Amino acid sequence: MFITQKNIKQSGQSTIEFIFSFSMILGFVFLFIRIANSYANGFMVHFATYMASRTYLVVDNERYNSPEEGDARAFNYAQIVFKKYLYPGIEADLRENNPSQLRLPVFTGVYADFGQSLSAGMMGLKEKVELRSEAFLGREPTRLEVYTQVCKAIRSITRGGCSVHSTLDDNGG
Amino acid sequence: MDELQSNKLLGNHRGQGVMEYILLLAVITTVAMSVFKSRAFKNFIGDKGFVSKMRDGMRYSYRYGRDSSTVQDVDKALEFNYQNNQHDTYLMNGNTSRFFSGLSKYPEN
Repeated sequence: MFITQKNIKQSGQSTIEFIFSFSMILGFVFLFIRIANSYANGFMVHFATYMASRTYLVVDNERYNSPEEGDARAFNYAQIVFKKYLYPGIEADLRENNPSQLRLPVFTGVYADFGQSLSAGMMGLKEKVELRSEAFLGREPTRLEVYTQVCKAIRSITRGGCSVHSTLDDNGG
Repeated sequence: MDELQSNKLLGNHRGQGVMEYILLLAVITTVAMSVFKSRAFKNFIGDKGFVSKMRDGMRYSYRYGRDSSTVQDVDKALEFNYQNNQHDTYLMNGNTSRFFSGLSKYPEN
């Protein structure tokens, strides 16, 4: 017969089995690492959105000529804060719920949309999971709005203007 | 017969393992493809399948901080766009909320 010792060797079999099983286990390991990473990213975006909403709540400057201009500047600052807290590589869009455009003021604040991949190679979901993080802390009245309201109150009492000093006195009557 | 066995190609078993491996791989591939293309498998991972429900559940719980199994219409909740008060974190038990705000806008004049 022609069967020689060289032909009946099975030394490659274990190597091939090792490659198959190792690649599968490695796929699972990377999948779990990916999922853990996505969870961490999710928490990070929640925190970044919360911090951005805090910024959106309080940013103000007396130079602004209208409440809308103040809101726009506050949102710009909120975006800067949001990006500072995000880990590099996370693509998230911060959006604003402006108080002047909302039907319900309780939703005033910011929210972030972003996608997370839950796959490693051929394992996991093909499409990205689209997530939304919301933080509706509201928005403080701007100095301009406060000034306008106080001025209107003074005018309604003194029948004058706000350009002169007025002293309001309660006589207890 | 002796002539055949003495032939170099037919008289040994070289390649038998490879051939068996190829045939086995073909069978396994055929079975796997039939499973992957079956309606039951597509329902499992399709738009309304188990995986899709799991994904929507993750999206819902991430946004609202609640378990999606307590909600009847997850798609509607995920499409909520702040046009009314039907926000699943804002509302509790139908139409009441633990959040509060002014009932009407602060008068401008």
